Amino acid sequence: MENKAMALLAAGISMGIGALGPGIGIGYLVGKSVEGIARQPEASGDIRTTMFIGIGVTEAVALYALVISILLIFVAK
Amino acid sequence: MSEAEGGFTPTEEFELAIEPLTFGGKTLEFHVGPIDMSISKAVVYLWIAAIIVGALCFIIARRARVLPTRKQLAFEAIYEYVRDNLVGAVMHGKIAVAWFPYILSLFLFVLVSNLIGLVPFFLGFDHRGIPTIATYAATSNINVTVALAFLTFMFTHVSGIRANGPIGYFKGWVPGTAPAVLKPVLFLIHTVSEVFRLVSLGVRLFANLLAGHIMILVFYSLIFMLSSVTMIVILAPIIEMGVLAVSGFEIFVAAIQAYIFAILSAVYIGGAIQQEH
Repeated sequence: MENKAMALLAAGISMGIGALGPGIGIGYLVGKSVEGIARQPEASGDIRTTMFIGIGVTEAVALYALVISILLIFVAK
Repeated sequence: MSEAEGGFTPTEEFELAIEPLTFGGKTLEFHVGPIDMSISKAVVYLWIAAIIVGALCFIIARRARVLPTRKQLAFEAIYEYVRDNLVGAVMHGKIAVAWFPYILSLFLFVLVSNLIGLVPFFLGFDHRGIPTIATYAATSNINVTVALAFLTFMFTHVSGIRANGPIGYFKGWVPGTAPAVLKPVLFLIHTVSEVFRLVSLGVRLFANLLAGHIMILVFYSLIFMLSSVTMIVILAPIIEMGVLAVSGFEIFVAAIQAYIFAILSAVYIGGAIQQEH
């Protein structure tokens, strides 16, 4: 049971810290995109496309942490 | 972990995805040499997605009119969006024309796979006689998504070598201005990044879809934690609203992830063909 408790704790910490980086990253990304769109509204289509790709790539980092958490919760004994 | 009789074990759900299904008392298990060709849940869902995409394209292309109907207009909007904003943004000229069919079919297939994952299907009755309704997306299975990513991975390198020649292609991995001593190190780093592109492309889609399904199920399972009738009457509608909100968000995620999968495939393939020196 000791190992399981440690694994559950690690899962929580992994998800929490893993969400920090992408949170900051996506914040910057969207903030800068909004600045760009405000400056040049005619380029909003291109900026939005690039922004979504950036979000997808950044968000994946949090999801890797989620996968690790799921493995820790369900696989560790 | 010891579970109560007939209790829900999430680990079993993960194993069920790759286990062959049983139909009419027969296990649908096939092996071709060392390759496992068994029909699992994911295979059935992939068939459904393939049939929907194929039938949709076939029906709309057959009845194409100069004065388009509403369905044709919607489909043409998707077609034009993929052509101009997805393929057209990262590839040019002949290469865009050559790779557009692959990128469009990839986009439609992943999109439909993601979306039918949100439709609840009736699976039958469990041992207590309670009807089982479940949602499952083929793309929330890591085997499916990494196989799709592997397709893009192969196309990237094969088309890169065909366009630039084997020596020219691998030379393009290292910037020409780098000092000669650093070149092997840079080549190694680039090789690692190419492999991780494959992994991240597959895991991104899988993890997004899996996270979405887990979120919906967690919201639903909150209802089973309510103990008294009054709590159910008060809180169950609020939980239902939460499920609705998460499901709406998941439709958005399904579209965005299909888009990202398709555009990253286009970026990788385009980058391999038109290398920056």
